[in-house]
Amino acid sequence: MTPRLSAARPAGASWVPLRIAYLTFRIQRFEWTIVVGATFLSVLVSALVAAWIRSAGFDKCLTDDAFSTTLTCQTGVAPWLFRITGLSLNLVVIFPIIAGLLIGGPIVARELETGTARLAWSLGPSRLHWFLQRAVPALVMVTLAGLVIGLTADALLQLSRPGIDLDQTFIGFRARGPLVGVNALVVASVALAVGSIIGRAVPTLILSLILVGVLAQAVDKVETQLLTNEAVATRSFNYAGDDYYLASRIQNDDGRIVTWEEFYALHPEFNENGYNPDDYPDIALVIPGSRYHDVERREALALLAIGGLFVLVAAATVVRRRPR
Amino acid sequence: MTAVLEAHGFGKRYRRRTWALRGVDLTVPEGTITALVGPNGSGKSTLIRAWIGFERATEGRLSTGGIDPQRDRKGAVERVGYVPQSPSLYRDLTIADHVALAGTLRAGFDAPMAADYVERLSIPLRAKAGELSGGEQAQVGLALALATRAPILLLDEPLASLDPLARREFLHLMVEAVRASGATALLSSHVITDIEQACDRLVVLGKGHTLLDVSVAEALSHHRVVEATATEAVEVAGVDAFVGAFPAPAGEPLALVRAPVVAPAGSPPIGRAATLEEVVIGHLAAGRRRAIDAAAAEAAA
Repeated sequence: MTPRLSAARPAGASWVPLRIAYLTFRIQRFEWTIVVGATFLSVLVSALVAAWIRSAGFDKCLTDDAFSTTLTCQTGVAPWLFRITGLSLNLVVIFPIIAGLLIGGPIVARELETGTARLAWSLGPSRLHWFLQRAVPALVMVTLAGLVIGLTADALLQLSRPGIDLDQTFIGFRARGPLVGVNALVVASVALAVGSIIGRAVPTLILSLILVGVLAQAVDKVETQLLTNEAVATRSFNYAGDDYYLASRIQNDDGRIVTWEEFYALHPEFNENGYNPDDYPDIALVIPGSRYHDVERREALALLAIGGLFVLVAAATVVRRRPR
Repeated sequence: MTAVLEAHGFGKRYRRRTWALRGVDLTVPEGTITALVGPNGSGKSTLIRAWIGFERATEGRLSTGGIDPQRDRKGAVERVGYVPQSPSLYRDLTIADHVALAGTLRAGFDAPMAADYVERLSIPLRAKAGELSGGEQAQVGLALALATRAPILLLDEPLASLDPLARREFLHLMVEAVRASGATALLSSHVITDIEQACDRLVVLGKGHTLLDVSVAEALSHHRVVEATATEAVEVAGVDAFVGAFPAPAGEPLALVRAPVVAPAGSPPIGRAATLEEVVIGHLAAGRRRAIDAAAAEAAA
């Protein structure tokens, strides 16, 4: 009996991608189970919590100030449900990092470490073909998992803050919506590239984590600089919670908006004596909430480009390097 | 006879210092099963990996079925079925999954043939690779390599982890498949007795150099063993005929000498017929002696 061999036909048949995705899943079953399981569990818990809050009328605790002080909102199950909601939203921030590292890191690194890459590379003449077979299903999967988590975070945020318009606010920026999926993809791509170079699973996870941290800092810095050029200046106490706060500035008596360093350089006497805030108003540089999707789209595209670059590095490394 | 595997002045140096191999000239004729024998660190694996394009030559050139593996690795891999030193299967995949995976990686991979070989070795297709013994994993590796229907088979010490019965089954399967397909096989191994039965050519590699490259029949007919020390053997057989001295398992001194192609009339052949193992050991001893002498000469210079 050769039960599964009927499926082992040459590449090109229409079902082959599914077969490859299935085998890729089997090869990384442990990591995929964790990521898919965590995603499923998160969606399930979120749906249950949301349904409970709505069916029990606890959502009124969030919209009705008078009702929020009642025992219904202050004791019993309601505070726990809101705590779970908050915790779920906080966990969204780390999901792309964990999922990306778990899925992306071992794709090539473990195969090099265990020697299975040697088997695959001796069977398949095209290493690029092998790389795509292994990397594409994993990257698609981790992106989808991130998207699901991001959309769930959107729903939870809307539930916990019913007054906000998700399309017009930076609340939860980078920790909700499609950016979560893109972040997971970028982290997985970084780990994939590092793993291709290092060829060992555990050091790959550690180094990738460090690299992702550095990369996140760099992206944030560059984006803040770009956005600062597009920012709207407003009196510090005037900007809305929906806006994306970038920096604090001060308005000089000649009307120019300057940094604090520039201000104290212009007025060294204020170092000693202080100044009158009525004469020199504090200014906040913000991106209005209405531009949320613009900024989100631009960051997603930039991150996709960075992720693509790391995938290219991984592919080039796989094609050139020698197996263990 | 056309050579399908060639090495011309091949050298491989690691980390800019250690030469794994240097100045190797070697050809493997088409349709033969050639044994590549040598001590640990003699560069057997490096040479085999270079032929499949896994290592780059530091100097010299290689040919795999007429293809330079450095310039066209893809072409070289297409011509080769490879069984590595240690079995490296996906632990969580079944053998059937491995066959399916190979089918997605290589055009023309003969999945039914692979399944047939695996079943002949009494390995269940539904078994996970992680559940198999090292020997069974090596056999699966061989079945996958054979099912590529590649004209060249490179086997890098696949017998090392096998028990005697598994070794015999492995060799039987390999020889049968190679003979049936007319492929060429290069088998690197330490187990000389098995080589004698399976291979028709013998290449001995020592300290990065080719020490011997002959047919197995020639290796046996052109060597004899005398129970003597090196000095005594040189006196008896002559300095040109002396190859190398080595101890017998019990400790008495033995020496390998070249037998004359045509024995002088009336004089009986010296010593006794050499076994293939003694031929290999004698040449390895000679190689080591030469390496020590060369190092001493270099140090003196």
